[in-house]
Amino acid sequence: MIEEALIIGVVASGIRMSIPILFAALGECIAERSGVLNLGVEGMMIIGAFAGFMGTYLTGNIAIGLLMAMGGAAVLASLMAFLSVTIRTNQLAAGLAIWLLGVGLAALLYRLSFGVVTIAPSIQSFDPIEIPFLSQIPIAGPILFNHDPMIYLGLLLIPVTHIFLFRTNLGLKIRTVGENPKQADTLGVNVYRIRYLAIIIGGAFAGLGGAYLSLVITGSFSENITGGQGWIALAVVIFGRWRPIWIVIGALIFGMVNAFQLGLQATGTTIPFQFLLMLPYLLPIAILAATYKRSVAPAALAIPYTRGER
Amino acid sequence: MEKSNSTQIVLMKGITCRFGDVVANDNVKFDLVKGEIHALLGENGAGKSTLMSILYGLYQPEGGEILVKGKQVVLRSPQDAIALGIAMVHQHFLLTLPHTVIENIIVGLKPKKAIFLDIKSAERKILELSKKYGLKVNPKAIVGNLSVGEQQRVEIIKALYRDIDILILDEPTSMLTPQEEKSLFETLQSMVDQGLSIIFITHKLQEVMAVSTRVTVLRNGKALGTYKTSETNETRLAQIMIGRTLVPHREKPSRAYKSLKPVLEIKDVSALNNSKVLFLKNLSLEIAGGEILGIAGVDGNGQSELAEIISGLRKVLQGRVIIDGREVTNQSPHSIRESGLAYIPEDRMETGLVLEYSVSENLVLDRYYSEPYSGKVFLKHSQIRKFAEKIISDFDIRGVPGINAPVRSMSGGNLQKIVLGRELSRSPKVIVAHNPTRGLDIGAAEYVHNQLLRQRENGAGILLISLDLDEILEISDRIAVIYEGSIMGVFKQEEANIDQIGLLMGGKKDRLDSTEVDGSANK
Amino acid sequence: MTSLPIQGISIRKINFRPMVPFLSGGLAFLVGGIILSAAGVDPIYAYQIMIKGAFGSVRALADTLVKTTSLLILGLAVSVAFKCKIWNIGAEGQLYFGALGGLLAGLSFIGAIPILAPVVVIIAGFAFGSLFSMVPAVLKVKLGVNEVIVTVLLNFVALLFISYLLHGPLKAPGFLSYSPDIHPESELPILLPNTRLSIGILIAGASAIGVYLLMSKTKIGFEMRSVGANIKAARYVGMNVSKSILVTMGISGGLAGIGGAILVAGEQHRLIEGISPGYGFIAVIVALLGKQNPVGVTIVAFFFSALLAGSEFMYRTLGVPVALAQTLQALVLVFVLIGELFLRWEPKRRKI
Repeated sequence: MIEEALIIGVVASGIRMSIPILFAALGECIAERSGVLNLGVEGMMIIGAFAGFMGTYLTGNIAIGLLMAMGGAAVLASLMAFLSVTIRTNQLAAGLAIWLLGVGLAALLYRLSFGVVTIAPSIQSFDPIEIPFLSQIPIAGPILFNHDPMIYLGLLLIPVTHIFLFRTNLGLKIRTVGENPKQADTLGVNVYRIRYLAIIIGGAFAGLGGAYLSLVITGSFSENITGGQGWIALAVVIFGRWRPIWIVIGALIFGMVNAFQLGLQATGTTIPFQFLLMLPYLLPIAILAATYKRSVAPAALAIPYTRGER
Repeated sequence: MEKSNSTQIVLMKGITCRFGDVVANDNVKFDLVKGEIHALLGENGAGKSTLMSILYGLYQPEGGEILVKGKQVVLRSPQDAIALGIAMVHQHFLLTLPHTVIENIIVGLKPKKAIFLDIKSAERKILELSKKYGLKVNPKAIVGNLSVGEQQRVEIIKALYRDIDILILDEPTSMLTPQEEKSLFETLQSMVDQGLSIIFITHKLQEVMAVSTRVTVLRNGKALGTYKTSETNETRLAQIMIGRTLVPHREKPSRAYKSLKPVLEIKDVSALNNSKVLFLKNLSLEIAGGEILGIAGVDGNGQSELAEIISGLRKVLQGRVIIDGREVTNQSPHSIRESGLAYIPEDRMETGLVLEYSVSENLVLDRYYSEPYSGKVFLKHSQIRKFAEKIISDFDIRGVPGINAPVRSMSGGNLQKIVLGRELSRSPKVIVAHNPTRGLDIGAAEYVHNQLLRQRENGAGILLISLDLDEILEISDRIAVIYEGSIMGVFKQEEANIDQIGLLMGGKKDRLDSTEVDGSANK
Repeated sequence: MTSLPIQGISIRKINFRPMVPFLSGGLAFLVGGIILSAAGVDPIYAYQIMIKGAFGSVRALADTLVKTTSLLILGLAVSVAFKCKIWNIGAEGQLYFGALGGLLAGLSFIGAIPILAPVVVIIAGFAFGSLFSMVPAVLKVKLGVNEVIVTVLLNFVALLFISYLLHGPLKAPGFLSYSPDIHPESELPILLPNTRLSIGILIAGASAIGVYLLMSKTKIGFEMRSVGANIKAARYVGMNVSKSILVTMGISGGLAGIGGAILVAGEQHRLIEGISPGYGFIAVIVALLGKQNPVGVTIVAFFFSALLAGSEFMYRTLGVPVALAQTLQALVLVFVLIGELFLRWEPKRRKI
């Protein structure tokens, strides 16, 4: 009985822990589908975590916090878009700059707002929403149907993103821009605008993912709250082959591993906790190593586009 | 020749367009009459593509005006052009290979169902157009799996789908077999019969004569005149296009010698292409010292792969490659070069040179590691510089921006001379030259040919892979045709016959009479 | 500077290129100043304090130079990789492994041999850092895995591993989790009395010269640069691209490792968690701004170190968070990247 409860707890927790990466990876998938490699995801996540936290802390309203998270991350994403699409600088350098700017800015603004405190300020998080009837199903119920709203939003986002990319006109434009921007351009698609849009949407998603960390998982903010999850999201996009359906599997794997190692710690194993903590980082590396050969990135990924360039 | 005709649907006057120092179009006048096929003739760099790109809204001219259907217009983007009924099919197709035909065609349109893709009605419309103009396509097919001819049909339907009446085709036959060409011309005629007007960019004289109603000749950015095709001929056009009479046939110096033993042997080689598909199939070739073997073929039939397996950039699955009696199968590019191979790659800017390096750095790219250019650890810059100065003078390389400045700014012809200088100064036994005169003007191309001929005199065996059939016919001693990764036939230059070669390029091994041409590549 | 026609924005042929770094720095400080005012801090006063903390006294200057030691050598490490188009974001982890190597050498019996000990410590630092960088290098060469993500993730792995060691096998007796002190003979000699400025700065300087010689004057450097400039061409002329990549990463990781060893042997004399305040990441900005050449890297490393030293002093005096420094550094990079717009030129001789 205890084992069952533990397993249910771990799986449910695994779903929760996959959400930040899921949001960030889905967003990054959209951005990369338009041909832009956004290495600044980590920075956008952490800005989202901070802005979301601040918004909720100041107004007491989580919805406002989420909006601020999306907004803050979107601002950073606009800067990334400006650098990548308008200035057409090296996208790797731009992404790294945005990442470090996001990290520095979040830390700076947080410390300026709260100073050095022994007890970190915290906020009241979501109450879980129990879906009637469904959450009573043994085992599956608590795992799937007793979560906070953002998880449902995140899971909903998977089919939404898929349909958006593959069944809508805008999605087709984004994909074409990412594969053959010149083709899109000659057919009247505004390549620059589409890329801006894709990057900003991606950033907003990443912001939501970061906000989930501060608003739901921890209820507070700390400088290292994202702990590299933005980077893991980048890996997830690659081994999800730029398709939302596979990306969710990658995010879930990460979440499960994370929850699993936390569970192991809780049961008091002899393995030093640091090695367990390493698992979420080693796993993406291993998976990348195993699947890299067959990766089919959007053809124009990370190549800046200039109309009329010969 | 002002034609103030009510059937004139496009008029471009005084068009001038500059890219930096280069004047791509210089006060050009061009007009299109409804229902005609108007050829735009000129060599590489004459300004034809630029002029049409302006008409398609890709570039904005600095001077001049454009009238479409009698009204003056400003074309700021392809969208503007499409709105006026003008569409362009580019020489290098603008297609997304992983997407379907439908997806490639409908992207960018503003359909009635605003948000979601309307695949069904798109499919219907595509099949209608396909039937109307006789362009066979499968709307659900993945474009990457189609043949070149089929992809071109997709490109044309992509244009027609947008309810246009003016179609611009940029060098449409550059990737086709002679048979696919014929089929295309028939399609063009049927499109004209349906009310379309067509502008046809080309540098090939026979095409102009075969298909156009009128022809405008461009040279160095200037329009030199518009003529009724029926009132002119190839020789006249060539004179205007080039500015001098075409040299009909090059007199090759008689062979210094031809070695008895081959310097390059390719025996029964099979290899995969980049998509992991078997692309070279049991290919065999031999080249003797002192001879030029030309490989003719439509682009994409294994030429690149052939060059790569010889130079070591691609692995051979089975078979052998032998240079001057030495087995070099699957060895590293380094050791193959040491065995006496020189390789002039197809893409000099992406592969043959490091654009940010100086002339001297580029010249020693293949030999920096040995004496006298370096010692055990350090490079010997003075030696390198001396070598560079010699090559610059030997090969008449001009426009060198400075001893340490990047070569990026130099002209195509001079860049190719750097590649030649590096490759040919190794006294190679075998030279693989892949499209060595691509993008070069006549003078530079002649220079390259002379260099190759000189190497031939010195006893080198040369494999000339080229998409330019004229080039191959001019300087090769023997000519082989490659098709789908195999050699279809080898001829001596004296025996070569264009029709036969054309048929082999299209994959037909047996002789056919001219009535049995079906146009589409066999798949 | 060249005879190329300049497209983009050029006003009466004024050469904007040298101005961009200063303009960017100025704009960054402006933005920082705005943030400070919004938080109720007088920016002018704060910046004055910052300058004092970086240059205002011998101690301050020494502090700046101590930080320059680390930033310079880490900057060199990253820029060597970047110049060869290998995006090594893992310098922080490689630094820690190098620190580990230095620590082990300093704790061993060799560490007690005078004169020889510091040399061995530095070599050990190089070796450990280099070995750790082989992981992403081999993955890249053998499997084609993109090094950006792998190196970033490995940073976390390295930090966790070091943490485990410091809480476990390498823990010094007592309550705190750091390593025992290294033998005094392994400590790097101090250059300036009463400061922490050791000969590490000389090692960093020597490394800069070494990197310069390597990249521009040696055969191996030529190969490394060629692979970075045009990998297709490098392969085509027969260069051993895999070997180049491995060597490049090895040197990059090794230099980062030396940085770590210097932190152990020159500053702390033991290994502690957090011995590096993110030098490996700041070094990324340093490398990008320094245009991957040793002179540029040295200049940027010095100024960024001044920024760090000054901001630490600002924190002690005014309570302004140290994160301001990182924000400013990132802003400088952003503005420099934007400045590229003004410097874009395109040679127009396009007869391809």
